[in-house]
Amino acid sequence: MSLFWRPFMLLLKKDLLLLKRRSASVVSVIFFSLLIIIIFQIGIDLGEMSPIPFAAPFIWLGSLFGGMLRMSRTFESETRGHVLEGYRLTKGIVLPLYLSKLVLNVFFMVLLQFLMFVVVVALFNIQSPLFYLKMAWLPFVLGAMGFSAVGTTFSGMVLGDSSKDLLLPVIAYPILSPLLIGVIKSFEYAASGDVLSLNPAWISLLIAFDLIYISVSILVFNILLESQ
Amino acid sequence: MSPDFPRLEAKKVTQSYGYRCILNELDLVLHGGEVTALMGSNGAGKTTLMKVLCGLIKPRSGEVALFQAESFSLFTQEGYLFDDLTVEENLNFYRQFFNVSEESLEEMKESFALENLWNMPIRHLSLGQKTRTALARTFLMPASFYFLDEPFGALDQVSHENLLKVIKHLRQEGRHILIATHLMERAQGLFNRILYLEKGKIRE
Repeated sequence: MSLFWRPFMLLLKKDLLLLKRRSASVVSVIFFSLLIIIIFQIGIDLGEMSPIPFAAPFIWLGSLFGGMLRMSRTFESETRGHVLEGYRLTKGIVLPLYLSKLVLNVFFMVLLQFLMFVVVVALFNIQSPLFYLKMAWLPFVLGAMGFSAVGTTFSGMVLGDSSKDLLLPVIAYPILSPLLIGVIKSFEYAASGDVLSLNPAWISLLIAFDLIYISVSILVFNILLESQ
Repeated sequence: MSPDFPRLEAKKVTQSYGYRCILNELDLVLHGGEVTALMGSNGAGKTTLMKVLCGLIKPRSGEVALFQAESFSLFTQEGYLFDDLTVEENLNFYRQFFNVSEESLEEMKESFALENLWNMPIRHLSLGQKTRTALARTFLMPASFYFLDEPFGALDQVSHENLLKVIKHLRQEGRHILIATHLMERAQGLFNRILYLEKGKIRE
């Protein structure tokens, strides 16, 4: 098992260090996401309506755009020095490499969603944020996993393309549609607007999406790596 | 030549880019305990041959077989280094990645005179300094075959002599070192064999 864990932990540690070194790019992604939410909030007048049903769509609106920017930079450190080619001389690297990138992207997406949540709570004056978070964490984490699975794999797929920043959203968004709809539709609201419960059918869809895309990604990632 | 030394055999290897044939049914045998020079004009296919031999490029036809060998290590101008990490962070990452001892890292640090560069990020290094770091990374990886693509070009005299020492030491240990170079005069007496790559074939 150390054949997996040692390289996995090393790659994750190295990526965290590089993320810390390039914290400016992380901050700019977060500001971009915040800006989207703020612009939409300014343009929408909820009147007497409860803001709670709007929270999940707004959090995901910001996370979607910011998250895609992050996904496109998944292999940035490896592409600069042609490190991916060097990795290929090492046996058993594929699984630790893919999973270390996936874990870091999931971590980033969860963090981004939490920040978006804090901003949405403040902008819409949501009265019971902890109760909402208690309900929302499951679809949000499942959403982050599915989004990152697709984003990480597709980021590897478009790596050699000069217009990868444009290509990634074009090919990833249609595939992500069921996931995005699933996250938003997971909530069932009371007449007052409060979250009543989570819809098990949509949660099942999110779990199935995550399992399928993580499994398929692990299977095809070796081919992607060889094609670089 | 010891029968325990590693051996690599390439048989009828063909590789082409589009209609241009780079390697044409090429046959080659490399033995451990030797240093081989690979020469050829620009674009003759030296880098392609090295990448085919170490498995980074799948040939259109033919096969590469290994005997008594563990793995390959490759040096190219790209370096395989992380720009935003320091020399120490890069080499320490690879040391742990290849599961080699700290003593090996210290040896490489000394061999390529990296002490003064230790805390500098790769993006701040000159071409020669980056080459030294990339060579240290290459030799840190335990391998039976070391493929070096134009390693002499950016090195100063001292670094060059240090590199020759490392290569001679590896040869004594039974490793094979294949060096693609135009600068034969900088490694007089080092090579056991000199190969010429011309029109996709090897000439000795």
